[in-house]
Amino acid sequence: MELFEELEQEGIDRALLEAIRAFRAEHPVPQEAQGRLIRPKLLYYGREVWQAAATALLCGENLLLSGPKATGKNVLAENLAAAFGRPVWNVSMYVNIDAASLIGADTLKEGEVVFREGPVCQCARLGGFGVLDEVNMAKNEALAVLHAALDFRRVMDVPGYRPVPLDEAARFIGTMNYGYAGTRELNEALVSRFAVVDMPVIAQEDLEKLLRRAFPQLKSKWVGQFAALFQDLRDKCQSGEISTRTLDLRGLLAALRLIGHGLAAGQALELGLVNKAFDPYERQLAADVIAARIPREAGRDQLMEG
Amino acid sequence: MDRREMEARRADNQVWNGAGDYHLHPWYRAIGPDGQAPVYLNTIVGLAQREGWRENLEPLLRSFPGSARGALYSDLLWMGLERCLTLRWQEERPALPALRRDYAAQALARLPAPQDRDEGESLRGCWWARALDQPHRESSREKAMLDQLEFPPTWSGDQVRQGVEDLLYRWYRRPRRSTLDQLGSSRVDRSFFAAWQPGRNRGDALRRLSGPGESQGQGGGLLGKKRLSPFWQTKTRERVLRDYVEGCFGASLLAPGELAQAEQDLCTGDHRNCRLHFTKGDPSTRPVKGSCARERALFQLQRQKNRAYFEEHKNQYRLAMARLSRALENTILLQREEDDTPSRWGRLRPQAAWRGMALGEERIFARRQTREPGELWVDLLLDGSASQNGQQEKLAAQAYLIAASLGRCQIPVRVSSFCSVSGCTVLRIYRDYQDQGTDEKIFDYAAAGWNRDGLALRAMGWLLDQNKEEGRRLLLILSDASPNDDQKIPSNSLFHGNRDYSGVLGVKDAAREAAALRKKGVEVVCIFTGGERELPAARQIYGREVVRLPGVSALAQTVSRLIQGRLTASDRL
Repeated sequence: MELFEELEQEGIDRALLEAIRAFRAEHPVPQEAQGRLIRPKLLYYGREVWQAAATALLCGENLLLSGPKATGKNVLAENLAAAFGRPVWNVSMYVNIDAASLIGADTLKEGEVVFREGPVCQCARLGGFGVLDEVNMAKNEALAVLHAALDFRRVMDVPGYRPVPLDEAARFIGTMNYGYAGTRELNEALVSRFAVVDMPVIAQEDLEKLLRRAFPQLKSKWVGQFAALFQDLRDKCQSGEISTRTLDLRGLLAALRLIGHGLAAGQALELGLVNKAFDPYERQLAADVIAARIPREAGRDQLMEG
Repeated sequence: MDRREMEARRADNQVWNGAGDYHLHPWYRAIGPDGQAPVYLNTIVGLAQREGWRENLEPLLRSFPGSARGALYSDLLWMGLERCLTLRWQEERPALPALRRDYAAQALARLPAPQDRDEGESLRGCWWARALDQPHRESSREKAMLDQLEFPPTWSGDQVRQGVEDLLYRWYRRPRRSTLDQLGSSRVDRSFFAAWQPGRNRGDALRRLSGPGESQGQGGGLLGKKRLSPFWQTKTRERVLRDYVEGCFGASLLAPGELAQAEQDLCTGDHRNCRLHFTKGDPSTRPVKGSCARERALFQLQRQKNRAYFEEHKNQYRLAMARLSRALENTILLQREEDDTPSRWGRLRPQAAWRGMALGEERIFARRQTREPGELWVDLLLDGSASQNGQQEKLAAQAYLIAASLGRCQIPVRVSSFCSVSGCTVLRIYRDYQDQGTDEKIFDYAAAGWNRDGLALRAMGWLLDQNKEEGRRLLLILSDASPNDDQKIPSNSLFHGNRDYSGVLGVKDAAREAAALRKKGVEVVCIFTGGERELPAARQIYGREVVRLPGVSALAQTVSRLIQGRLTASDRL
């Protein structure tokens, strides 16, 4: 189904969708960046968040998607890029990333020292959406080079080169989760350059929709059970009985893919969820939650159609 | 947690999961004969609790152990209940029938051969064989009973209770409204329940303690109350005092000569008539009797309470420890800077390449090197006076949490407490910097006596001087900033009497000692546990370095934040 149709079905404001269409028409994608256009596999379910984020982007804001694990930060970023029809540059942040890794560095070309664009610079020039994944893993000093690009100046001054103005369609979307190993507090100067979306936990109903879309062959009864399983794990995390390691939406989706390829549910969920915890006791508790929802031996035939 | 406690907690988790509520107190927990918590049965217990059937069934269940056939009656009730709830919930939880079959197969495998079964075993055998659709032989009585036990899934809890009572009346003539219903019993069931062992959750796994001195504020026993010392004004007789503190707190860490030297250096000025006792809590070799033995017994009781409290909350503390360690590790990780250092090998530095060709210089490469943050030595000094009586268990647990988390991150930490008894300031070291695997000694913490903060700080300074390793010293002192000791400040004048070590004088003395520590380069931070009234005194003693503790439960988090701040600020110092 066409993305816009699905968004309409989800109740996204029609006027907003029209505005996004107009944005797309106004900002065609350069040939050079065509290969970076994406088709999202998953739809972000959460009308209010989607509308808020899209409105902010239309107004020229950059987004910071902040929230705990399994709230769909990257899914939303991808959805927005696809809806706005923008090419995507994914930049995974880490503790030792430096300014040169983001904007680029000098290199030799035919005997001359030339500037080789980094992902952020390229994204800015070609009007893409730059997804700065786990942005709070990078040092604030490294991110300082983005300050001028992210605020009203919309320019990146590359030392020894020239100022690179941002294309009108270029936006940056940061994702972050406080508490992961290697994360730090973002400084105020950087945060003030983003519109911050506090990502809510995915509702069970929305998770069911997501599962139906990603696994149309999954039987309706079991869609509910997998969504409820995720909720059971979340309850257990919230009650402080286990850590959030097993509360892994990516892991749940991976397990369903494994089931689709013939693995028994118990084993698939062990690979996707249970084994994410390294504490045997925690694994046991997670395994019990799964056992009370999904039969261990259930396979593709029992859980999926066709 | 030992295995038994882990399985009990696991069973609770299964019940909570079934009930969909983590706040309720599980009314039953099933533990199998193999010592493991069966998911199926505990899910059923949780579902019954979710349905609100506990009120209907619990009085009946409680009445069974008083009867000769109590075990059999319990078996029958649970059999009817599990099937009824499985059918009732199978739409919502389609995994239940499969779980039931798995459980039935295991239960059947544990039963003796059909010819060796007693009545209860035979009924269970037939019941589980029915669940598995296995061929089996049922007598007409068994068939009629089990048919009657197959309650419709639409029944309410009250109907299930009624159904069980009808069945027991019909087949065993058990009166429906027996007075036994009103009685509870602690007798352990056998038979089917023995297989499940879903004994009432009396919390025995939590090792609740009871007994004299259990109520709040009494944990410290006689020393727990601040009272006038019989030794006031003058020095207590040496032998009496030494025997007393050694008996109560443990043998001295220092040889007599070393201790005498330490006292000569430290017990001066306002602390002239005081004494010191450094101990790690190792039992004294001297015989302990009389009031000292009583005090020691009360300390022992407090230690048990500390451990019991921790055991009760172990799971939460385990997760908190993981979180704290992660936060600290993260801070250390982020403090590791990577520098490009000129080297003979590594990544070529283009700007220096010409020097290799023209000057023959070899260091034209750059190598990334990790710079570790400087060593930080952390001392946590707990106020061990009677003012902490109401929160000893929590304090001990939080201190343990801090020590264990710092230990995991290889940050050297020492945990001590101080109090003053009859003019002797006792410094009890629970865990020293280099100690491994001794964190549990922190549960020996017991609050008693007075607090002569000034002398305690001075003694800590002396202890800190014994550590000759390089690095920064951070002393975190948990205090209510109310120095108060029954050993008076001796007067130097024939015309003035001795003055109380409390109020302004005590605060001034503590402030002097804190300043002396700061002068030595020790960072002294007060984790303040007092109220608004004592806050100015805390500020006077520790200056800006006062952190208010919202509650003792926030101690570990507060300390973690402080240490993270210190680690982050390492470059500035």
